[in-house]
Amino acid sequence: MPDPESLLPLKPDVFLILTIVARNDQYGYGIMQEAERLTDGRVRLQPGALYRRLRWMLDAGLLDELAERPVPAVEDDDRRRYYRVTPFGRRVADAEAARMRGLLRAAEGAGVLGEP
Amino acid sequence: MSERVYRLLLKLYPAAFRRRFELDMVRAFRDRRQKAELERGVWGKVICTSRAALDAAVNGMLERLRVTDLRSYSQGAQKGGSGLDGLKRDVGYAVRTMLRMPGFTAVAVLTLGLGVGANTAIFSVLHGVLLRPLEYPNAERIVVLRDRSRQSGLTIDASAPNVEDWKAMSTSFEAVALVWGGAWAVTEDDLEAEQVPGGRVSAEVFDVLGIRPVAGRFFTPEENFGDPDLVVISHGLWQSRFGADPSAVGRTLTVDGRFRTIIGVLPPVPMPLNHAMVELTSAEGSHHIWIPIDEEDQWYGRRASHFTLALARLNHEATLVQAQAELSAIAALLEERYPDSNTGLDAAVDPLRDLVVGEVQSELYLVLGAVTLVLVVACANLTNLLLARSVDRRREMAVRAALGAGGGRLISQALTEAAMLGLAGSAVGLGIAWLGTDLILTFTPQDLPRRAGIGLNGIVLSYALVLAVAASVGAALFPAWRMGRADSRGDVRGALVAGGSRSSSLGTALSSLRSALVVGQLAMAVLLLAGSGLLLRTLVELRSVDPGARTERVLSVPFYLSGVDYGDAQVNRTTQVTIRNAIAALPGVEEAVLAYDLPVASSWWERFTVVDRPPPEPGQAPVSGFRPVGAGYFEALDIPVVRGRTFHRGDRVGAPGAVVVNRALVDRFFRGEEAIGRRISTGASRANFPEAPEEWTIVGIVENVGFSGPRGEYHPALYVPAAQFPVAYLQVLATTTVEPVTLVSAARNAVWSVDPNLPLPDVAPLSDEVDRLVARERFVAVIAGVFAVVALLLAGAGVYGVLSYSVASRRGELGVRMALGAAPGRVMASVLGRALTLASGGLALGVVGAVILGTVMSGFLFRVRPWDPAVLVGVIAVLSAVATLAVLLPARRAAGTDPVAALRAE
Repeated sequence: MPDPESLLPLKPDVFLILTIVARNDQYGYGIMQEAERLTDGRVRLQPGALYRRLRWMLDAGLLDELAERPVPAVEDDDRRRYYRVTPFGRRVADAEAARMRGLLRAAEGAGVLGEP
Repeated sequence: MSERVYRLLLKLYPAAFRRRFELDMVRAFRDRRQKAELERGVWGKVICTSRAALDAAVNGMLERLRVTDLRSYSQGAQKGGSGLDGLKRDVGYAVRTMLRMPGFTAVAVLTLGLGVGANTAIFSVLHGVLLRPLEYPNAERIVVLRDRSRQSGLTIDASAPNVEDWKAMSTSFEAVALVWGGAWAVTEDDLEAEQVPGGRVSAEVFDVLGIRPVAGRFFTPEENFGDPDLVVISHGLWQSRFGADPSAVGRTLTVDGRFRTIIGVLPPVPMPLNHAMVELTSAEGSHHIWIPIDEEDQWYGRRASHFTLALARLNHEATLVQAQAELSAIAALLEERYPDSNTGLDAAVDPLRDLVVGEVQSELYLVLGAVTLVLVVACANLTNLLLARSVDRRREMAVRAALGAGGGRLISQALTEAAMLGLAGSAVGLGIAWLGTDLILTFTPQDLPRRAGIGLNGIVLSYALVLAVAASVGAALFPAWRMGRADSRGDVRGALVAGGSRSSSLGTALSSLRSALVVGQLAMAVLLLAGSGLLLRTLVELRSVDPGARTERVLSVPFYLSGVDYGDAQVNRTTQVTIRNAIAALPGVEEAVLAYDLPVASSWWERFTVVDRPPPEPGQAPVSGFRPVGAGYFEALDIPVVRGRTFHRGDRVGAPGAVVVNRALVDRFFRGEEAIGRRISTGASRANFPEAPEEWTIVGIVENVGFSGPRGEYHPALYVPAAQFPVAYLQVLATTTVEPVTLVSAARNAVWSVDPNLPLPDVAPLSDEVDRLVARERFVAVIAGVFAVVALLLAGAGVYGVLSYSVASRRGELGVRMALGAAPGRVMASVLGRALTLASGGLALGVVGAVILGTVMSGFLFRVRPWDPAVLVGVIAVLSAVATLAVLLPARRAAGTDPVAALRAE
C-alpha cells in the first residue's frame, strides 16, 4: 500500500464521496442524493463527473466494488453497483481530515477568521 | 429522447470506462432528471438535462484524454489529473493551429459569434421577462384570485365584495389582499405636479408579497377602511425626494391636495398593480405610493363592479388545485346567494407569475424559435468549414497518426480545437449580444412586463459561453470523427500521397453531405424569410386598417380631477370645460373636445338592457363599451353619422338621457328594428352618479370606430354625453393644423393656467397610441426580419463556401475540359447548374416548411394567409438572388481556369 499522504490533498468531491460511502455502502445515485442532502443542495454531483471520480478512487484503492447487495430491496435493480470504503480509503480520509484540521487550526491561531 | 442524447454523449468516454459504468450513469441521470421534473417542472428537466449533458461531454473528453495519454506515452495513472497535461497540450496546439490559419479562424469565429450573439440577445430578454423568478420570497405561492365567466371561460378582475367573501370562507390562504390600482397627484410648492401610480391596498398585501419595509412600518389590519392619512412610498420616491433619509418616515406628502404621513418605505421590488408590474428597478427608480383601502370608495360595495386585484398567498398545506376547488365551491355558493351579480361566475386561482408574463410568452418563444434557426444555420456553416478543412488537413493527420497518435487522440484534438473556436465565438457573440440587447430594447413595447430586468448578467453570460462551446463542439463532431479515421484506416501512405492533392479522393459521400448541409441551410433561411415576411405583411395590414376616426394630427391631453378641490360634479364639469376652452384657444389647434377614452380603443365596459324588452336572465345582459364624450366629439374626429343626431347643448344634467350608439350595437341588438327612439338602461349610471339619467334614449347611430383590439370584429359602443355623466377622469382631444407633438408643452401650460397642481404625464399625439396598439406585432416582425437577413447572409456564405471549394477541387478536371476545347461559358454553366440544383432543393424544402410554419403561427397573422403568394414569391426571388450572387465569383473563377497552370499543379 502506498503512503496515504501521497494522495493528498484530495479534491473536495473525492473527500465528500469518501465520507458518504464510509457511513453506508452506497451506489451512484445514492451518493449524488446524499451529497446534496449533506451540503444543503450546494454540491450537486453530476453523473459524468461522479463516475470519473469513482473510477479514480477505485483505481487508487480507496473504494471497493461490492459483489453482494447490502440491502436486498425488492425494487433494487440487481445490476446496480454498490461501493465500500477500503481500509486504505479510511486512512486516506483520516489523513485528509487531519490535514484540513491543521490548516484550520493555523488560520484560527493567526486570528484572521471571523466568528463562526 | 433526452436519454438517447445522453447515451450518445457517453460515447465520448473510452470504451472500457463505458463497459464498467455506462448503465449506472444512465440510471443516475434518469433518477436525477425525474427528481428535477417533479420539483421544478419542465424547466427543471431541461436545466438538469443540459447540465448533465455538459458534464458528460467535458468529463468524457477528459477521461478519454487520460486513456489516450496512457496509450501514447505509457504514463502511469498515479494521479487523477493526468488528463490535464494532455488537455494543456491540445489547447496549446489548437491555439497555434488557429493562429496559423487566420482567415479560416476569423470566418468560423464570426459565423459562430453571429449565431450565438443573436441567440444570447434574445435569451437575455427571455430570461429577464420569463425565466427570472419574481422578486418575492416563495413567489410561487402568490396567486391572483379573479372572477371567471363559466360561459366563456374568460377571467375578469374580481369584485371587492366577492373577494371579502372568498377571504372569509376559504382556508387555503395565509393572507388575502385587495388592491385598487390608481394614480394620485403628488404636489409640492417648488416641484412640478407629479402623477404617481400606486394603489389603495388592504394591509395584508405586504404579507402576501412577503416584503418588509426598508424604513418605518407598513399598514396594520386595523388601518384598513379607517382611511387614516397615511402613505407608504416606493424606494425610488424615497431616494429622489428624500435622499434616502430614514427621517422621511413621519414627514408628510401632499397627495391629491391632502397631507398624508409617510409611515414606511417599500424595498426596491416591483409592486403588482392590476395586471402589470410597476417596475421599480428601472434607471430612475420608479415612483409609486400606497394608501389604505377605503370603503367609502364608490366601487367598494358594488358586487357587479370588477375593479379589484385580489392577491393571496397559499398556506403551506394548500396546493393550487385545492385552492381552486375550494374557491369554485365558494363561488357556486355566492352564485346562489347573489343571482343578479354573480350568475355564471366562477372563481379562478392563478399564479401571479402567469398573469405577469402570460401574454407575452408566445411572442417570446416565437422569437426564440427564429433565433434558434439562425444558430442552426450558423452551425451548419461551421460544420461545412470544418469538413472542408478536414480534407485539407489529411496530410497532417496522417503524419500524426503515423507517429503514433491514436484515433481518440486525434478526435479529442479536433474537439479541443472546436471548443477553442467556441470560446472565441462566445466572446464575439457576447459583443454582438451586448449591442443586440440594446437594439432589441429600443424595439420592445414599453408595456412589455418586467422590461427593466432585461440585460446581460451572469446567467446570460454563462448561457452564451455554454451555447457557443456546445454549438462549436456539436458542429465539429462529424468532422472530428472523420479526422480520427485517418488513424484507423491505416493507409498512411495513401493519405500522404492523396493529401498532397485535393482532387483525387475527396469522396462523393463527403461532397454530397456538404451539399445536403447547404440545402438544409437554404431551407431554413427560406423558413425565416417566409415567417418574417408573413409578420411584416401582418404589420402592414394592421396599419392599413381604417380606424374609422381621425388619428393623425390629434393631441390627447388626459387629466384626472381628484383631491380636495374636486369631487363636486358641477365644479368638475366647469373645470373640464375651462380646460377644454384653454386648449382650444391655442394657436395651431382646430378644435378641442372632451372624451373619456381614446377613440381607437374602448376602456370601460358596462352591461345594458333594452327597456321595452323582457329583462334578461340574471347576469346575461349584453356588454358594451361605455364612452362618455363631450359636445362636438363626432364632428371633430370625423366619425360619420349613419342616422339621427349627435349631442347638442340641450343634453345636460336634468334633461332626458341621450345616447349615440355605433353600428355594431345596432347590428347585434336591433337587427331589422328601428333603434332610434328606443330606451336603454345601464348598470353603471345611477350607482356612481346620482345625477345621471336612469334611462337613455338612442338619438343617433354612428359608424364603428377602433381596431377593436386591434383584430377581429368591432365591439358595440354606447356614447353618452359627458355633460350628463360626470366623470372625474377625462381628456381633451385637440385636432391640430401642425404636428401635434409641437403643441405638447403649450397644452400642458394651458391646463396649468387653470390648475397648476394637475399632473399631466401622458400628453401625446394620438398616433403614438395607435402605434402602441401594434407595438407587439412590430416587435416580433422587426426581430424576425433581422434574423431572416442574418440567416440569409449565412446561407449565402454557405453556398459560396461549398461552390468555391468544389470549383477549386475540380480545377484539374476543368483544366482538362478547357484544354480539350470547352468554352469558358460552358464551364461556367456547369458550375451554375450545380448551384441551381442546390438552391432549388433548398427552396423546395423551405417552401413546404414555410407553409406549415405559416399555419402554426396563424394566431399571429392578420388578414394574411399562411401561403400568402406575395410572401412566397418574394422569398423565392430574394433567395435566388442571394444564391446567384454567392455563386458568381466561383463560377467566374472556374471560367477563368488556366488549363496549363491547372494541369501542372496536378
